[in-house]
Amino acid sequence: MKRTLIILLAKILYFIGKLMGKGSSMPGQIALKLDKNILKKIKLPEDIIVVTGSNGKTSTTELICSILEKNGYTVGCNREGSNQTEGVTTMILNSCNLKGVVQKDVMVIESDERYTRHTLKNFNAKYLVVTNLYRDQMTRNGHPELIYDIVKEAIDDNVHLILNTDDPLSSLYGYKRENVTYFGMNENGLSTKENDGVYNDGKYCPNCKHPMTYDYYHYAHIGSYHCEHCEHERKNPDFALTNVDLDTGEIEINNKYKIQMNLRSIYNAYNMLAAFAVTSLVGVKEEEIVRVLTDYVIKNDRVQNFEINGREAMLLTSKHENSISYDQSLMYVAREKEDCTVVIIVDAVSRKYFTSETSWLWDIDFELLNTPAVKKIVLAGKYVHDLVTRFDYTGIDKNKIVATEDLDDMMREVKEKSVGKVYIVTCFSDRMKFIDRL
Amino acid sequence: MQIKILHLYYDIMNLYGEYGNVKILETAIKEQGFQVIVEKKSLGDELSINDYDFIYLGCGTERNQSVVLEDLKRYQPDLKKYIEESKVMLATGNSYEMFGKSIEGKEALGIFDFEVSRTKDRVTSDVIYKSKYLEKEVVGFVNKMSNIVHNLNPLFEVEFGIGENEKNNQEGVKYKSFYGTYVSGPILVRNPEFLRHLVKEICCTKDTAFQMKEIYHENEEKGYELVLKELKGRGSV
Repeated sequence: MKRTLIILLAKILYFIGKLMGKGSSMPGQIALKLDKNILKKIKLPEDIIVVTGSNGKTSTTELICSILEKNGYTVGCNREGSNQTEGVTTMILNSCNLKGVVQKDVMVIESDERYTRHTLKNFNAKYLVVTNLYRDQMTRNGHPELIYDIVKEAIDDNVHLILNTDDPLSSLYGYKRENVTYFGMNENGLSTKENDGVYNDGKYCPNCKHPMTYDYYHYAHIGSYHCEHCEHERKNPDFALTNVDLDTGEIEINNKYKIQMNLRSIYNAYNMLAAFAVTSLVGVKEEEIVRVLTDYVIKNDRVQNFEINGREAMLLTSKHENSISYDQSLMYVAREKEDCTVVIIVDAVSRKYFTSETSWLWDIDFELLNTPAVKKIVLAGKYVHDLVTRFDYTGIDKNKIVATEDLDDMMREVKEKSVGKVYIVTCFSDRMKFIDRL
Repeated sequence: MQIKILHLYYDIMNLYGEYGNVKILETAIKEQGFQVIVEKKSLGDELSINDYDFIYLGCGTERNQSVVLEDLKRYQPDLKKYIEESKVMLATGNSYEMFGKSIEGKEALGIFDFEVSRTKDRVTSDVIYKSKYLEKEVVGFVNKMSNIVHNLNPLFEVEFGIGENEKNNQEGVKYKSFYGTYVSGPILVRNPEFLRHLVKEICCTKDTAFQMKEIYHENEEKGYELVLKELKGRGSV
C-alpha cells in the first residue's frame, strides 16, 4: 500500500514539476526520503543497460534508446533528466504502474559516474557501459583514478561490462575478468605514433605504474597500449571500428557494416560503436542497427549549425574543466581547410557550482589552432585574461588573436571583423551567451 | 649567466597543467637577461640534484605519488643538502607531502617533521591564502584527501577555503628557499607577485648583485585581480 502511495505521489510531483518546467530530481528525492528502498520494491525488466563514463554518456544513451525504439522495443530512459540517483528514481517511478511493475522491454539509464555505485545498490544492471574515464571537472571529481575507484564499487561479478578497449583506465575493469565485451577503434589514417597533446595520461600503466608502450594513439592517451610488467593491454575489440574516414564521414564496423555519420568526428564514431555493441548484445539485428545509425542526427545538440550574417557558423559545445572535450572540438576545427574564425568563451566555469579555477586551460591543446586556415581567434568572457595568457604559450601569431571581456564586443568582432566560417568552442554554461546575441 | 631548471616527474606529477609554472618562470627569468635551460626528468632517470638552480614538482594522484616517493628516496641526501643550502624549490599539490616524515604511516623523505594522513573524503576548494613573505594574497585551487600535522614552517595563513588540516589556519611549507603548497596547477601563472618573488630569489642565488627588472604582464595581473574579487565576493572573507 505504502509503495503504491509513493509511486502515485512521485507521478503527481513529476506531472506538476513538468507543468512548472522544473527539473526531475525532486520527485525521486522525496520518494527516497519516504522509503529509501523504494526502488527495490519495483519490478524492473531484465534488460537494464547503464551507461557511465566521463564523456559521451548522453549521446550514447540517446543512440541506444533510438536503436531499441525503432526496432519495436519499449524503453524507459532518464534522457530528459538528472543522471544522479534521484533523477533515476523519478524516471523509474514514473514509468511503472501503480502495482510497481515497469512495463517496458528495456531500461536505459545514463548514470553520473560518481553516483553509479549508489544507483546500482537498488537494482542489478545487466549491462554496464563505460565510455571512458579521463580528466573531467576536477573541482568536483578529484581526479580520474579516484573516479575509477568509485565506479568500481558499482561493479559486481554478474554485470556484463561493455568497455572501451582503447582507454587504458576504464578498460582496466576488464583485467582478468570474464563477462566483458570490448569496443574500440583499430589503427587507421587518423592514428598517430606519438602523443602530441599537452599531457599523456597513458604514459604509465594505471594498474602497476610501469611505463606503457603504445603502438598508436587515436587522440590523447586513447589508442593501443600494453604494459609489459602486468600485461594490462588493449584487448582485441569484439566490436571494432575497422575504418573511419572523417573526410567522407563513413565508418565501418567489424569489416562489414558501413555507416554514414552525420557528425564527422571521432567521438561520434565511438558513441555509435558503443551503442552498436550493446544493442547487438540485447538482440537487435545488426543490419537494423546500421539502418538507425546511418545519418543519425544527435538530438542533444552539442553541435549546432547556423548562420551569422550569411556566413556559416558551427557551435561545438565542449565542457569546461574537461580538456579532452575541448581537444576534440579543436581537432575538428583543425581539420578545416578554408579560412575560418574561432571563438572561445570562458565566462562562467560552471553553471552548477561556483569555482574560479582555470588551471584546466593549461591541459587543453590550444596549439591545435595553429593552422594556416585559422585566420582569427576571438577570446571572450570573464576569464579572458587567463585565456590570453594560455595563448601566449601556444606559439600562435598574436596578430590573429582578439580578446575581450565584453560579450557584445565579441559579437561585433565576429560579425564585422572576421572571415570565413565561424567555429564557436565553449561550454553549456556559456553557449547561450553567444546564441542569444545572434 | 645560465640558470638550470629541473621539472622533476613532469609526466606523472602533472594533474593540472603544472608545466605552466615552468613555462612562465622560464620566460620571466629570460626577461631578466639570463639564459635558461629546462630539463624534464622522471622515474628512473639519472640526474644530479646539485646541478640545478631551481627544482619544480607538481601534483599527482595518490598512486602516482607513492610510486614517485619510492623513486625520490634515492635523492634524499642530495635534496636535503640542496634545501639546506637555500637553493630554490617549489613543490605544489601532494608533491610537498613527500618531504615530510611520513604519509599515512609510510616513511617519506623526512626532511621536515610534518606527518600526512589520508582523509576518507576528497576535499576540493578555491582558496585565498596570505603569506608574510608576500604583500598580496595568493589565490588558487586545492584538491586533496589528506591532513597534515606537526608542521613547524607554514607558508600561508588561510583566508578563504581550506588549509593543512581542519583544526588550524595554516597551509604549506616554507623553509629557507623551499616552498610547498597544496595550491595546484599553474600557481605562478595565476599569482604574478609569487612569480616575481621566486624569480628574484632564483636569480639572486646565481648573481648576488642581481637587480630585478620589472615584470608586469597585464593579463596575468588582471586574471589574478578577477579571481581575488570573485573569491572575496563569496562572502566568507
